[in-house]
Amino acid sequence: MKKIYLDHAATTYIDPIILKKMTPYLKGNFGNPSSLNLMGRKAKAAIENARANIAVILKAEPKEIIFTGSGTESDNLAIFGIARAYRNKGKHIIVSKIEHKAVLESAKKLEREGFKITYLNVDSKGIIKLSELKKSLRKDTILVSIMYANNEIGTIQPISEIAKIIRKFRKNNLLPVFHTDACQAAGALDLKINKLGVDVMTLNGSKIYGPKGVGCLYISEDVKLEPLIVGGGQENSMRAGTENVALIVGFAEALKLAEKLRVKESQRLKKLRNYFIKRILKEISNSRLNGHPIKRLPNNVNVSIGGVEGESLMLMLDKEGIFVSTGSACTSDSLDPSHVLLATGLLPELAHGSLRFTLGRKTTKKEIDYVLKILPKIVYKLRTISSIKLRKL
Amino acid sequence: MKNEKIKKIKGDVISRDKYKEESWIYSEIVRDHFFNPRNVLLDDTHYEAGGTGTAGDPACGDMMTVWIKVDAESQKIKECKWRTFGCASAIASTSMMSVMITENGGMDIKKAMHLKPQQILERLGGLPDRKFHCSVLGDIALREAINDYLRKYESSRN
Amino acid sequence: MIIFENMNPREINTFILKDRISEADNIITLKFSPVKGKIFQFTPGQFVDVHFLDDRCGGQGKPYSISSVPGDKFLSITVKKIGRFSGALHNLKVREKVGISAPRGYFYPEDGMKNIVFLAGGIGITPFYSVIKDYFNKRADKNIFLFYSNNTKDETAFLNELSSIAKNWEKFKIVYFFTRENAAISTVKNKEFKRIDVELLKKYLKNLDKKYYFICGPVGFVTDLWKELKRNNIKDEYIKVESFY
Repeated sequence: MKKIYLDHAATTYIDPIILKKMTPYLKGNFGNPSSLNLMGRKAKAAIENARANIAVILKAEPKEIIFTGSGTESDNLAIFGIARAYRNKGKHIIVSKIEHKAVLESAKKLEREGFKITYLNVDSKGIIKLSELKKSLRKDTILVSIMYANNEIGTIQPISEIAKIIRKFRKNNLLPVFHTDACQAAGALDLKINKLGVDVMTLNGSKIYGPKGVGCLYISEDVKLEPLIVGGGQENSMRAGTENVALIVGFAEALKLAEKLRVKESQRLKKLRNYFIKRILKEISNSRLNGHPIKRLPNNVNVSIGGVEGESLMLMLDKEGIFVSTGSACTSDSLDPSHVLLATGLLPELAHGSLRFTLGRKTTKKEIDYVLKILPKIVYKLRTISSIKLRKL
Repeated sequence: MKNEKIKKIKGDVISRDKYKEESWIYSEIVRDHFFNPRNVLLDDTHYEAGGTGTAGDPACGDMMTVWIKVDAESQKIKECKWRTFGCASAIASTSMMSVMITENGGMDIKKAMHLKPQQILERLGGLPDRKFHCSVLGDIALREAINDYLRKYESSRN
Repeated sequence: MIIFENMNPREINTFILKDRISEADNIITLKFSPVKGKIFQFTPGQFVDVHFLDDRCGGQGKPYSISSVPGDKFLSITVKKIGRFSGALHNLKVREKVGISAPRGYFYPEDGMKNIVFLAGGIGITPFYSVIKDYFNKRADKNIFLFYSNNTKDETAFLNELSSIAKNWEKFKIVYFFTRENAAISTVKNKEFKRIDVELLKKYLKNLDKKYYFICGPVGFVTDLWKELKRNNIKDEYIKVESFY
């Protein structure tokens, strides 16, 4: 059965070139970077090389890059690490309502520990309200965390504008620190720190054709951080634990490659994406696009389809070998649909009927055309058994 | 005295097929009823139901409508049709319920009033706890339909 | 624009919170008054859907059993803090308003049922509490045996009120089950320190037959006891269940 994978925002395959570069560190080159013998020194060189490569892409210093085990871990390290380092200077933190759960749950946990959190609203397209941000900044604000691009609806935030607002507010001081989760932005958007104006940034490997289980945190040398994982002093005592050399090497190579292909690939994907969106909205009645139509990740198509439910749509597509994800409540214990969709003011019934298609490097127009053949049939079938009647427009 | 504490596995408990490589998200029975739902009412404009009931709410992600036809003499459910907006578990639950109350000549409506979501779940081969409410809704819709029938039946007799 | 047609217009009435009472660890009773008119009619054992008037929890409603009786000054629900929705209910301040739907459900004994067994797991006590109080007020001609399971005494809602009814009404008996209690609770008579099982039901009921069983509580509790009763040849027509999820 033909398999069409359209869930690249969840994870991607590992590019074969990247895999090849990783393999020596899973085979003969197995040293522990903390060992002082030759085997260890070779491993150490590999991760320092990886670090330097990433620093070049970000236009940062190598010592400002910390490797972690995932994007989630980087987010946790940023939120908890900064909150605890500066807690005697203030206890107010600002996040957006559409942050990744890694950021939101960390903020909620800090709330239970006595910190005050402001959850910024977004507009109907998912962009945060800058006026609300300005009003929320206070004397005791120590951290602002707003994701660069959203994993569900693809909306891109005006990060440099937000940075300007924060820098203007803090004048010559350091606080509040500005963190952004850029896991979805890598490979699609500019990551240069000086352009963005952020102090801290999260990245990970699983969405850029690199391996899973590795991430990094860029943290400006001016910013203090309390580590989460302590022990043997690795990563400048910011993240203990024997480094997974193969994954780190893979991550850096993947980011290098993604950066190299970025401009051309973004163009190609944008064209495909817009074609896909146009045809869905035209050929499937009672459908709508979620997120911003233009300030949007090049590969993200998130739609709500009236009268049918997301998990059903997803499973029927799955049967046809088309792999996507949904904003319906099927995986959450709370029975609530996607918090991101609800934050944009979308009706819950439409949030339950949402599908996310995220295109990738191997996605072709042929594949999209095939999906466009199958999807209307599935929608039709589910609508014939649905108890919801849609008014014919 | 049995002192075994049956450890409850939280999270996605599916069927025995859980560890097979090519396993589906729910049980094979659920899969069958989802891809081949029984007793769907495709066109309700001319269907003369004995009773109708609805449960759930699109805002909550599941809503089902049930239509039944009852044999006046035997008080057994002859036919049960339905339509559902919802996930695979919701569609499979309503489908299975419609089979359970019409098989073997049809269920007596008194017995059908006592139908429990647990019974539907048993026939489906189980569902994760977080999907329990799908079977509850099917049950509620059926009860509404039976009560609707009883109300109409009572008033037609008087 | 996506427009839905047959959305059942929910009858939601606005209610205002008049009082809050702490019943047990993490369990509170919320007492409401309707903003307009009188409290609707309901049968003890029924439940209502409660909505927040803003988008606090995404606009969805959740079902809660009514813990007051018809004729009470307020309409009460008793909520255990488990997740986000119940947490938000716990944070409700007096004079705040919510939406409450018309009462629904069939989880109550019918007229012909005389010998009744209630099996309550934790906060599953709420519908039974309403039924028991109502029957007590009317001195109904019913024999009721309540088996009420909780982790500890401190987590047991309505313990004093139920014990008081049992003391004053010989047709109502209770056995409390504490599954994680360490302390010696001398004040509570009729207790067991394990989970409810059929052997214990037989011990107290002597005979399982000719009784109507009502099981209410978390899904696991209800399903397990339902299976056990079925294994002991109790037919489904004699069992009613309500699972809290």
